[in-house]
Amino acid sequence: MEWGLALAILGAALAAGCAGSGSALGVGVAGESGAGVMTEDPGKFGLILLLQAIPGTQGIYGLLTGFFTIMKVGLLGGSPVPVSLEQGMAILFACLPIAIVGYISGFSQGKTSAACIQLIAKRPEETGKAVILPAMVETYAVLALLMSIILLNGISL
Amino acid sequence: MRLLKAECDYTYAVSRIKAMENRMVDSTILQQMADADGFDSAWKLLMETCYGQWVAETGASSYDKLLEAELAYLYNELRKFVPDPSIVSLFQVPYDFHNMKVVLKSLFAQRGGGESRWDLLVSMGSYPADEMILAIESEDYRLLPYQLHRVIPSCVMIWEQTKNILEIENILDRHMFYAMRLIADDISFPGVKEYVRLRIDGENIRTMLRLKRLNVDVSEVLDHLHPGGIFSSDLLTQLYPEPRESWSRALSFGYMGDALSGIEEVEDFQVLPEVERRSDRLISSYLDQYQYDPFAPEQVVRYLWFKEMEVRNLRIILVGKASGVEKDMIKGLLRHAA
Repeated sequence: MEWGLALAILGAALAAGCAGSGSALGVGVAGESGAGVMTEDPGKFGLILLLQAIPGTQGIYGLLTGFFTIMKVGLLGGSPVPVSLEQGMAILFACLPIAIVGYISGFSQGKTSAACIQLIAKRPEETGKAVILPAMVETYAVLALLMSIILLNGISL
Repeated sequence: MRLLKAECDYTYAVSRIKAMENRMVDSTILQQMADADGFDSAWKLLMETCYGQWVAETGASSYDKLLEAELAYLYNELRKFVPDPSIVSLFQVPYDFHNMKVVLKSLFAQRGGGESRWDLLVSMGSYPADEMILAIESEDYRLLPYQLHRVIPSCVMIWEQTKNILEIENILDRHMFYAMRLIADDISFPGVKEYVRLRIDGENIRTMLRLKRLNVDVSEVLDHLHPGGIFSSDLLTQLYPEPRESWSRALSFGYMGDALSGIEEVEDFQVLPEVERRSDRLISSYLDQYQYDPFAPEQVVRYLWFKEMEVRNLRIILVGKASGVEKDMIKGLLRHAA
């Protein structure tokens, strides 16, 4: 296998792996918080599920970037296109925004969700605001996804 | 990764505690109970709170049993899900030492031909009272918790030689704070250590005021102070001969020094309850700084502290109502509620 293709695969793996890890950590933290509240008040399941699901989006963004990358290098169809070392490195770098930001924002969003689950445990009437706060963290994951996609689009093979 | 995870170790516990806080008796209900016409009205209001369940579940008929049932349930429940149960133990230590005093006094009473007072034992401790009785009666102190085997023989010896129960209580109180310090030292959270230091400072200040009122000589003061607070025992001993009004300035460098500010304006007979109320309020204020940290282990301490305050407030109201104390006086004695 060419080095360029290997680097492109590394980029796809990092995008899906890091962003997915961030989401896993975030959903885990929010889930722990949700379980704590539901032990005392099972009636809040619907609201808690919503808040727990929010940090899961980074994993989807990472997967999307990964798919986009492997489609670009033709791996999905089973006939890879030739990728030079420089092109492979460019693809790897293009994948880094969502890999890094996905990991950090996934975990941070999970923490915010956990805090907001505590908020609705105390004040159920503030659910609307509680959903907005973790959504703010989402902004930066979306920006990173955009950057990765734009960069990948800009690389011609 | 390990660091990130460690930061969130208390997520489940804190979230569950936040949900449990909804069941606390808030200041509005406390005010309504204090304003109630008599004991029956106050009791009726109490039955509408989480305490009402204990009448049906345990058949508790007196308010003492009711409050005890709630605290015992709470400690047992928290021990199951708090990652470090020794944080809960910090609050159970005083009850264990209360039980130890009851067991020792009962033993001494039995030896003098009197009766045991097992009815005074409480269930909120972390160590079973039955095992405590067994250990004391069989003089096998090795299994006692908090290194009590080191002090119980000397307590028994003091009783046999001098019959001085106050000295025995003083030894046990001193050891209780020592045990709390040992537990806090094993916990790595700064807020927990600070909580114990504040408790020791508050106790030392109250002890100094009591000794001053009794005109106890300065040479005896050190024996009554507990080491481990922010204010060292030496500093407090040096301060003791000074007028009470100057203590506040000398102790202003520490958080608990505020408990004495403007104390000269308080009537002499009200100084002790006022300082006790202020020191409780200062601990509440200190713990309130962790109120909005969703992952802070100190939230456990904060919840338990406010639960203790809640029980204390309810006891003040119910005892006051049962004895016909005026509403305003009851309200004046109430602690800061969560």
